[in-house]
Amino acid sequence: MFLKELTELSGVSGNEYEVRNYIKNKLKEIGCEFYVDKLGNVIAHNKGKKNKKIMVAAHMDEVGLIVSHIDSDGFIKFQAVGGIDQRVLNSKVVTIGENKINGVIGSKAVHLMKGEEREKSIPIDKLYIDIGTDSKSETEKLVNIGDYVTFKSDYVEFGEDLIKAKALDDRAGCSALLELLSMKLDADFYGVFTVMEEVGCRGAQTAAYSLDPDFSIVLEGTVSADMPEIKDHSKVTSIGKGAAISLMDSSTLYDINEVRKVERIAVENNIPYQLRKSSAGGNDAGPIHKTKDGSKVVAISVPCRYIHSSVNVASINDYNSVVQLAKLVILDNQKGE
Amino acid sequence: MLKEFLTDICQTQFVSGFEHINGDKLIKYFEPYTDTYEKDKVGSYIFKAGGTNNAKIMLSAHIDEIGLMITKVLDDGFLSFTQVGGINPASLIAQDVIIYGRENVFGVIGIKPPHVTLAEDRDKTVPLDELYIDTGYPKEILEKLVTVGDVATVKRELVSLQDDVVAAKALDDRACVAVMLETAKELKKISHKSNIYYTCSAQEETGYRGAITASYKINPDIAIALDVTFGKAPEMGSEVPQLGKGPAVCLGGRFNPKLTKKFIDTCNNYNYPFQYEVAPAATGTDTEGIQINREGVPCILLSIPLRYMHTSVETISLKDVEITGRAIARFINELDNSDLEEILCF
Repeated sequence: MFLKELTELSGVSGNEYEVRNYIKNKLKEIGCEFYVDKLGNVIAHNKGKKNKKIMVAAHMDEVGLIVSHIDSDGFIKFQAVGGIDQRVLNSKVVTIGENKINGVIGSKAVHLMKGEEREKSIPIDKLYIDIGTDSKSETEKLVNIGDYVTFKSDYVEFGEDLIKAKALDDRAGCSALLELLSMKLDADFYGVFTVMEEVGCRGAQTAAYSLDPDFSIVLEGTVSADMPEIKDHSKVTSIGKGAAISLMDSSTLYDINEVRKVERIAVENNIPYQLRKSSAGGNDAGPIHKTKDGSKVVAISVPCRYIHSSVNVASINDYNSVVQLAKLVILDNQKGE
Repeated sequence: MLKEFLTDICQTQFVSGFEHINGDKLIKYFEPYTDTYEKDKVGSYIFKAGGTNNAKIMLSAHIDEIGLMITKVLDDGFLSFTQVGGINPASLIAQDVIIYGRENVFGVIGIKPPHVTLAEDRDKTVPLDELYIDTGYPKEILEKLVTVGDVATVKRELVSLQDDVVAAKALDDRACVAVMLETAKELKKISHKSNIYYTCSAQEETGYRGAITASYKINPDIAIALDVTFGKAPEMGSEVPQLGKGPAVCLGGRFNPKLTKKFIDTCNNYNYPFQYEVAPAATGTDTEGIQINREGVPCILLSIPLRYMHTSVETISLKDVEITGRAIARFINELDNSDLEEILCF
């Protein structure tokens, strides 16, 4: 499991180099052949028994912020990279740019808020980052327009088997894929660590084009609305109930025969699983299943509460179920006919 | 030293009404510069540095912080909670927290993911009673670790920003506890005639209750109340004090005008930068309680400018803490060499 190291790296969409470098080093250690394509995807090849071309994808990028302006007092304005609910930004510690400059996103004191102000969340264009300087020129020495901004949030293991970190969407998938590649399975597959999923699945599109897979598996950290006051049928997935197999989302209708096959493998091998029940959200499966003449695709995910915030929560047992299930699905697809 | 103290003390739980749990931590820091201490019945810690005359000067900075109190242990590892002191629920979303139960329990406060959130809901804040702490424990285990009435705070380590600026939770008012420590250190060096009472007051956030009883007990001749004030930030007007430019001296009816002038003169004479702040009536600080204690106590109020008050990223300049601590030591020295009665006489 590489979750601690991976979630502590910064990799906002379009700026995945820390994650890419980590993964490249790991692949070298594992002794796995790989190359980096024109968009920055890392494409690794596990050689083995083969009767079809399999692509297993996990995205390296995470949601974050990008510096858009420095005001006359040295405060930093920003835009969101990927889908961020403005309400998760209040009172946060962030790091900016390659030099990891510390900053905070504050909020007007509650004492000074009028009645109706207290009921409204602060829109992103009214928020700013404070790095403790008091002039534009001082800030400009440390921060550039276009610098990427990452949440500062430690990896913590808590409760019975939970972890809290930023970017479990989709470092959970990256960690699972690294584990699969390190198993040296006698089953041929390409492990693709994609870029820019959160801003339109850009990397998956070009990787799928160059690989042209027959069958693909997307490994994700996915939505879990498993919280009090949410009706059972709206939870999408639940933490601790196993690997989530997608039925559909906004980008893909997963091939139902393949979905049932994955379910059967889970049942036969006593791997806890659940079906992901929502049409919302999308992932790399979208472009992958539509590239060239198409690919069959399934998505196997780790359910994550509070996704797209600095405090993603997931179950280690669920994560392990994802790794086990993905392994068996790869083996099943490459076994002799 | 200053930063180490604040790093340690800001991480420590002192939720209003629960100050006694970690109060002894203060002793370690104040003991080298003071002679005796006492804990009072409400939760304040009073450190006394004895002098050679009979004058009694009370310094007061509140040790307590805003926090959360558990109201119910729910199913699936969730806890509901209410607030202790004035909290903006918006500042709690997507935070790590620690519940101070039978043991310290880690949790997070999250909100619903986007797919079950209507677009218009993003523009609204989530009320406190719709937020939950997620602990990851089954209910039967959680019930053994946490009970209704336990308190929790956001988990936050002090973060260093540029130029002596730091961000942390509870800098309201630990920044001013640090000011007292600076003053105590200075006065230890230059000695003093008055008896100085460094008061880490309790329950300020719920109505400056510790200052009421502590000032009764001390019965001081004068008091210097220390708190934080709203510092300049983009959402604030231009009239508020700025970080790094010294303490804000508060002017208004709660404060003795001649004593305030004496402090300003001291700053001018010894080149300590300071700023002004005006409060014609209530300030919500310890002066509210101290000024009308017994027959009355002449007070001044000095404030450290702070941004994002009552969030977990309260931001101050350490420069202001140092300046204020030293200016107060010099001020006390000046008072020692003046006729206090004459200053206080209208």
